[in-house]
Amino acid sequence: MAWHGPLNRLDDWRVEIPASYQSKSLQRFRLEMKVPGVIYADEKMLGSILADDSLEQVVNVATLPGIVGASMAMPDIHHGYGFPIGGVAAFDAADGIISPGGVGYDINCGVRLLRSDLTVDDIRSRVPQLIDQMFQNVPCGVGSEGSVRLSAEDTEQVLKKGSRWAVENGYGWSDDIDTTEDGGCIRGGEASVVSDTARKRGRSQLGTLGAGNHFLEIQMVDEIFDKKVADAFGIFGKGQIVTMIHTGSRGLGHQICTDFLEVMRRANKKYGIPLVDRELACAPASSIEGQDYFTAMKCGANYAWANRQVITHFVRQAFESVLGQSSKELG
Amino acid sequence: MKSFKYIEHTADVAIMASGDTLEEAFASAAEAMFEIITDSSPIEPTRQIVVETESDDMESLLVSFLSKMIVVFEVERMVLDSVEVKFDDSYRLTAIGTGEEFIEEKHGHGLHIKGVSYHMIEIFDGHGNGPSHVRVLFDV
Repeated sequence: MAWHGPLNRLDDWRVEIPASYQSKSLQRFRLEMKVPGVIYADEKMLGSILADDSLEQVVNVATLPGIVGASMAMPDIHHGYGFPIGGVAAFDAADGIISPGGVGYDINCGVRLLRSDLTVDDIRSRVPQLIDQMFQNVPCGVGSEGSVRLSAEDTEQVLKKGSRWAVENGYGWSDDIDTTEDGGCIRGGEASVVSDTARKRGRSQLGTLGAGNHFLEIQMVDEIFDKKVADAFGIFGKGQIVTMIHTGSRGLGHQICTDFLEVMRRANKKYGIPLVDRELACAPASSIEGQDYFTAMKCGANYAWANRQVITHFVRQAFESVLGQSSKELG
Repeated sequence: MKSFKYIEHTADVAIMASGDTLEEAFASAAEAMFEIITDSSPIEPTRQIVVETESDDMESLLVSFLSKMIVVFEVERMVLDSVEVKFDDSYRLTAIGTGEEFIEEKHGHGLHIKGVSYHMIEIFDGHGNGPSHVRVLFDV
């Protein structure tokens, strides 16, 4: 479904959907955009963005209570469920809403870059062994379980502490915490708001990659564009070996989203929030439902950080066992 | 007769599941999930599991029921060959699944279903005058 609504170019990099736009869906639900839509895209990018219905989703998000400034879309915008992928929206903490769909099913899905002092010449002949060992240490794919088994008590601690739980239990170094965004934890995660089902899904999946677009790659630095940033990341030059870890909160995060979409569906009725798309299900951020989701979301985020931390440890072990050097020596 | 077919989708997997009754269409959607997960690997009927679900409308009952199938897979570590569904009253159901323990080498050939979406969801009850259908999209 291609876009037929109005678009005003603001500058070379941004276009705007005026808040006066009334899509057919909005007319049907008697809703209005509360703020304009702002899409960060040049003319070349816009072509593919217009091909799907992601801009209708930008419009739908603009109808949600308490939205601040604009319903924004980043250059990678594409069609999502309810909210577009690459969409950004801020809501007033007092009068706005919070929505599990806006955060997404895979809470705190993200990447971690693990640098090393190695260069491509150091590992060239042993790449196949490294890959085999990484596959063995970090399970992936359908139904994979990890070697870590969390007790009920461990699970609570993971949800509260994130990366710190992993480091305290021998999965990594204390300075890993310093080099992880937000120290690998959002404070305020309380497992009591996370369902038994979600916790059970999390107990055997820590240290696993999952499926879909998640990956674990050995990568080589090809070119440095910004030396200052590269220095900060410990990236020294062409041929350097790094590992990229892309995964998130696995089944636990998905279950939190599934559980709270249901909670929010009821909250929508309770608080009388009209929705143009049921995947936008939300509750006032200050309500009990909103606050419980916020706490559960922190738990999901903390699980994802712990997961990437445990995987970091298993990747180091793979390099150690294949190259016969300690990971501290390998950087 | 239970059956399902794939609906084209760029990123995820959408299906249309059918049956003589709506109960059968629900069951067919659940069976489809295990066909997707195992890529139609053979599943021996050696174990049974009972799943109960309730909600307050038909669409959320379907999402909630199929979400429980993910739990059957990930937590109970079972794959199901056949599922029977019985609606207890309007928005409550009991399902009996027959299958076996998940063995990665034997069954782990398909796609990992991570969630069940409301996106594209559609339920059609034939009320005995014709087949019933459910359309649902899985996040993979």
